Amino acid sequence: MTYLDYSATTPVNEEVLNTFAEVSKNYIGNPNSLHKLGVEANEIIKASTKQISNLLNIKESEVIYTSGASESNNTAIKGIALKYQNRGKHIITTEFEHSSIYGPLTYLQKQGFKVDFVKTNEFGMVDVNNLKELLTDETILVSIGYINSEIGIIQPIDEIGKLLKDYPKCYFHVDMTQALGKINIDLTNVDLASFSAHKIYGIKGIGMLYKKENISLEPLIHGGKSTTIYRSGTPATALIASFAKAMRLILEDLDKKYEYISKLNKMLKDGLNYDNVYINSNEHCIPNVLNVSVVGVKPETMLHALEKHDIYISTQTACSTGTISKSVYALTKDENRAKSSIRISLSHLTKESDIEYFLEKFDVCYKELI
Amino acid sequence: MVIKLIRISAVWCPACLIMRSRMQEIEKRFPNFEHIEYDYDLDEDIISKYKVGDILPVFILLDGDKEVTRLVGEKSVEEIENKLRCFE
Repeated sequence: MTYLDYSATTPVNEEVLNTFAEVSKNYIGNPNSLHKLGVEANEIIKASTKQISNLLNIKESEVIYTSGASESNNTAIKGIALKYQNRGKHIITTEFEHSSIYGPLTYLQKQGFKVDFVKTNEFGMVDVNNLKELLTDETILVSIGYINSEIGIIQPIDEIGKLLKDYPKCYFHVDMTQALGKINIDLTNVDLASFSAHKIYGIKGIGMLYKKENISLEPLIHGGKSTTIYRSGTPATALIASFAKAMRLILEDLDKKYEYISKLNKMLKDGLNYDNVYINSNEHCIPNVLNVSVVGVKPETMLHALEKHDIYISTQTACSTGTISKSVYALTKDENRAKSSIRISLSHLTKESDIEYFLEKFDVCYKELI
Repeated sequence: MVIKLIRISAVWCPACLIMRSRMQEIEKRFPNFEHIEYDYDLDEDIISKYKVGDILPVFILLDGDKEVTRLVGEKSVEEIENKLRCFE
C-alpha cells in the first residue's frame, strides 16, 4: 500500500496505541470519582495535561479536551460569539477554512452575526492591511487556519496576532489542526487554537482547544465541571494520555522531518511535469501537501485509478464532497482547476520509493485518462 | 402567481456565507417574491429536481413551477437585482 493521504488522517503510532491500551486496562476509574481509582485516573490526566502544556508552552488550565478539531472549532467560534455578543456581532475569517469553521459561522450568521472575509494575495495568504480595514469596534473574533488543509498555505499568524493586540475586544482563534507536528507553533499571540490527535499519529476521537486563561466561553455541552467547566462529559483518560504521547513523539526532530518531507515534495513536484498538470500549492505552503490539478480528469476518476494500484490520495478535503474544491477555486479563480484537483499529502513515514512508485503509476493513469 | 426565489446553499461553502448577507438586501428590495432557502445536504430530496451543478450557492427564480432564470456562485447585489428586476 502507498498511503499519501496523511492530511486526511494518519496511521496510529504503535507506542501511542500501547499507551491507550495500558491506560484503558489499568486506570478504570472515572477521573471525577472521589475514590482511589478515580484519583489514580485523574493523576494520569493531570500528568498528560502537564506534558501537553509543556510541549505547547502554555498553562495547564488553558487546555480543554474535546472530541477533535471540529468540536474545538465549534467551541471556540460559538463559545466566543455567544459569550461576548454584547460587545459586538462581527467575525472575520478567510476563504481557505475547513468546513467546521464555516458551519458554526453559518449558524451564527443566521442568528444575526455579520461575517466578513479578509482578502488574500496571489499565494492565498491573508492581506493584513485588508484585515486592519475590516476590523471595527464590533469585531469580537478573527478565525484563521494556520495551514489550509487542501493546498497547504501557511498564514502569517504571528503578524496577524501582533496586529490584533491593538484590538483588545477582539479574540484571535487559529485552527492549528494541520500545523501541529509539521511546523513550529508559537501560541504567544493567539487566544484560542484547535488541535486534533488523529492528524499526528494519535487516536481518532480526541482533540483539544487551547484557550488563554483570562478568556471565557459559552460551552457547547452543558453538564457541569469535568476537566474544565467549558466541556462537560466524563474525561477520556486513555485518549488524553495517548494524545500527550502522540504530541511528544511528533514534536521530536521536527526540523529533520520538515527537511526530509521537503525533499520528497521536490521529488514529487519535479516528477509531475505534464501538459495538463498544474501545481496549485506554492512556495508559501508546507511541503507535506502537494495539491495539483489534472485538467480534464475528474478528481474522483484519478483517485480510483490510483487506488487500483493500491495508492491512496484525496480529492478536496475528506470533509467536503459534492462540488468543486472551494480552496483551489479561491486561490486560482479557475473552475477547471478547481474541478480537477487532487491532494497528495506526505509524512516522515513516506519513503522515496513511495514517491517513485506513485510517479510511475500516475504516468500510467494519466496516459489512460487524458 | 407568486414568484419564488429559491436559494440553495451549504454550511461548508464560504460563497454561501458571503451571499447570505447580500441576499438579505435582495429580500428587502423584492418583498413581493417568496424567498426560500434550501440546504444542499439536508434538503437533498427536495433539490434533486433542480439539477444543482458544481458551484454553490444557486439561485433559481420560479414563476409557479417554471424556472425562469438561474444564477450560480458569488454575485454582487447589483448583478442579482438586474437579473430579477424584469420579473418583478
